[in-house]
Amino acid sequence: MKILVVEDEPDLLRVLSQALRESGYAVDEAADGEEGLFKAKAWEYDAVILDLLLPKLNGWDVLQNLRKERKTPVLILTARDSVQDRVKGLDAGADDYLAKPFHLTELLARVRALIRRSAGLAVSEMQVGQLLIDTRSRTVSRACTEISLTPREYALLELLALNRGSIVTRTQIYEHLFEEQEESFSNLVDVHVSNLRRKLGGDFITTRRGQGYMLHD
Amino acid sequence: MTKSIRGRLQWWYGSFLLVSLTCFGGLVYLRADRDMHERALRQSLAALDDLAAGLRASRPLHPRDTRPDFHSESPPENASGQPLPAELLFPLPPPPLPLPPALHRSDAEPAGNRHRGRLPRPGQPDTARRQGPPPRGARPPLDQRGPPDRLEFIVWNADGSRIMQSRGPGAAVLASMARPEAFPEPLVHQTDNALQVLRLGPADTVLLVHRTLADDQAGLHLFGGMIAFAGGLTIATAVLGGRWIAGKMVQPINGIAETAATISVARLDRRIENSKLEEELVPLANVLNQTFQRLQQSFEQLTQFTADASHELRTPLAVIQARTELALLQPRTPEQYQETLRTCLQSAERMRGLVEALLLLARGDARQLPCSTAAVDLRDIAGEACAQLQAKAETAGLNLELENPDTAVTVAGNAGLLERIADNLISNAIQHTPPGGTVKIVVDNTLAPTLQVIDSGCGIAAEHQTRIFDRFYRIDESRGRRNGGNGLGLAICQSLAELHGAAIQCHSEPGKGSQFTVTFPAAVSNSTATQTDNQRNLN
Repeated sequence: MKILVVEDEPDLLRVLSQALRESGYAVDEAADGEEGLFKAKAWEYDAVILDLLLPKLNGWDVLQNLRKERKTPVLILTARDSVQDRVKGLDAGADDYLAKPFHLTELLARVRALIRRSAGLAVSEMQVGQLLIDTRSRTVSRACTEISLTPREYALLELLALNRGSIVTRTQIYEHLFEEQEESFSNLVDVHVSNLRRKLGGDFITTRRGQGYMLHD
Repeated sequence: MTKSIRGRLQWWYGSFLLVSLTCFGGLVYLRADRDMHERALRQSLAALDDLAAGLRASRPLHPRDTRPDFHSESPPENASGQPLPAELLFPLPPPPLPLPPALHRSDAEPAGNRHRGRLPRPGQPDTARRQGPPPRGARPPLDQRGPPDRLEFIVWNADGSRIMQSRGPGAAVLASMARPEAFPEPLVHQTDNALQVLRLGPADTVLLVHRTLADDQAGLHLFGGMIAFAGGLTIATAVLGGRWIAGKMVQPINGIAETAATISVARLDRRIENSKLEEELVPLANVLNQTFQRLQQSFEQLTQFTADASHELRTPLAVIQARTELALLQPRTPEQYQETLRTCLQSAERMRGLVEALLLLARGDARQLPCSTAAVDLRDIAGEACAQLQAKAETAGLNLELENPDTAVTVAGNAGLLERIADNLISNAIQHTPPGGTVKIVVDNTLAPTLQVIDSGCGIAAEHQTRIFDRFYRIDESRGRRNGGNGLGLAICQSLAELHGAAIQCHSEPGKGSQFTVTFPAAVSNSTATQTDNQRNLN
C-alpha cells in the first residue's frame, strides 16, 4: 500500500511519513501543491493525504485537477476546520476530512478505512480460502495459526488479496510497495513473492508469466 | 411628556389646534357678544324714538297738560329690530284716567294672552283691539310674530309720576325706579342681564326702555356651547387623524428597526431596503447601511484574523501531538526520543513566537504598548539590530552594510520597540535575499528621520506590495513558513511604526530588490538631541 502525503510543514510531513511507514505503508512525500498533483497523477497511490493551504497550488485545486484523471482516495488534513471548509473539501472530491491538530491513531484508522472502502470491503478482515487477513492489526492467520510476515510481505499479500481473482502486474506491485526513493531491484518482487509463498504454504499465489501474480481463494 | 414621536406629534398637534381654535372661537364669541349688545342698544334706541314719536303723534302735548290720554303698551320692536308702526303701538283709544288701576288690573291678565306687552282694557274683548287701524302691508299681526318681547318701558311725567309703564315679565324690576333727575342723553345703563336707556321725551317726559338680555345671553351661551362643541370635535378628529397619520409616518422607521434587528452576526450581509423609503428616511437608512457595511468588514477581518491565527497555532500543535503520539506507539531508541523532543521544542518555540507577536499586535491595537517619548538615536537602533543579525546574515551568505550619518538622528519613542522594527525589517531582507547579496541599512536625517533597509533580493511583485503589511499575508506560503516566519513581521513593523507616528513605505522591483523606508515625524527639539548626544558622550 502506498500513500502520498502532500504537506508543506516539514516537521509534520516527517512525522506523518514516519507514522505511515511504521504502519507498513510505502510513503511518497510532496511539499507543495504542484509536486503533489504531479505525483498523484503519475502514480497509482492507495490514498493521498492532502493539506489545503499549500504553496504554488492549493489543496482544492490539486483535488479538482486530480479528480479529472484519477479516483484515488483523498483525505484532507488541514488546520481549516470550519464547516464550510469541510463541505467545500468533501464536495470537491475528497473522501475524508480531518482537522489539525489530530490524533495519529485516528488518522491511521481513517487511512485504513479509505483503502478498504476503495477496495469495496465493508470490514477490516478479509477471508481468502483458509487465510484470514486482518487489515487493522496487519496480521495473517491460517486455521487460527498466525503467520509471521514482514511488513513488505504483508503489504504484498494485502495487495494481492484486495485484487484477488485478477492479475496484479509487477509494475503495480512496484508502485504500491516501493517508495520513489527506494532503490528497488527488478527481482525484489520475485524474492518477496517466493518468501510469501513459502510462509503461506499451499498454492495461493500463481504466476502468470509475463503478466504478473494472482491470489486464489 | 411622552417619549414617543407619535405621542409627541399628537400632543403638539392637539395643543396648537386647541390654542388656535380657542382664539378663533373666543373672537367669534366676543364678536357675537358685541353684536348682541349693539343690536340690543340699537333696538332700545329705536324703541325710544318710536315711543317718543308715538307720544308726540298720538296727542300733541301741551306743556300744561302732560297727562297722556292713552295707555301705551307697546311692543316697540319686531324681530328685525325695526320700529313698529304707530298704529300698532297705540291701537286703542285713550283710556280714562287714572291709569294705575288699569295697570294693576292688567297684571291679572290671563296667561293665554300672548301679547304680553299689551294692556287689555277692562271689559273690552280682545277682538276689540283689532278694530283699530288695520295692519299695513304684509306685516303679520304681532301675535304671530317672533319671540316674546324683551322690551319694557316707563314714561315719567315731568313731576316724576309715571304716565305709562309696560307690564311685560321684565317690568317687575322697574317698579321701584324713580324718575332720574338729570342725565346726559341718551343715558345707557347696562347691568348684567339688562340694558336700560333713558332719554327725554316730549313735554319734559322721561322715557326709559329696559331691554332684558337674558334671552340673547342664553342664545349667546348656546352659540358659545356650539363653538366649543365644534371645536372639541375638530380637535378630537384632528388628534385621532393625526395619530393615524403619525402612525403611518412612523411605520417605515419601525420597518428599519425590524430589519436592523434581524441583522446579526450570522446575517451581517443584510441591508435596509431604501428604494421604497420616504425621502427623509433614506439618509438614515444609508447611514445605518454604511455602519453595517463597516461592521461586516471589521467582523470579516476579525474572523479572517482569528482563522489565520488559529491556523498558525494549529500547525505546530499538530506537529507536537502527532510527534508525541508516534513516539509513544512503540518503544523507541534514545535517539528517536531526542528527535521527538527536538521537534516538539521547535514547535513550541514557534508557537511562543506567534503568541508573542499576536500579543504585541493586540497591545499595539489597544494602544497599550509603552511608547515612551524618550529621545532615541536611530543610529543606535540600527547599529544594535545589525550587530544582532550579523551572524544570521553571514549564515545566509549575505553582506550586511550599515550607513550612518555623523550627527544624531533623534526620534521620540521606545528603543525596544524601535529595535523590533529594525530587527523585523532586516530579518525580512535577509530571508528574501539570495546568498551573495547585500542588505544595506541607511539612517538618514536630510528631510526627516528615516531608517531604510535596502536589499538586493527577489523583490516584491506590484500586486503584493499593498498587501504585505496585512496580518498573516504571505507572498509565498512555503518559504515564509520554512524560515520560521509567521506572516506577522511586517504587520508588527507597521503597527509599531504607527505607534511612533511613523510611516513605512515599500518600494520594490521584482528581481532587483526591495527598499523599506520608515519615516519618522520631524525631529524632537535640538536641545533634547544635544542632551542625548552629551549623554552618549558621557557614556
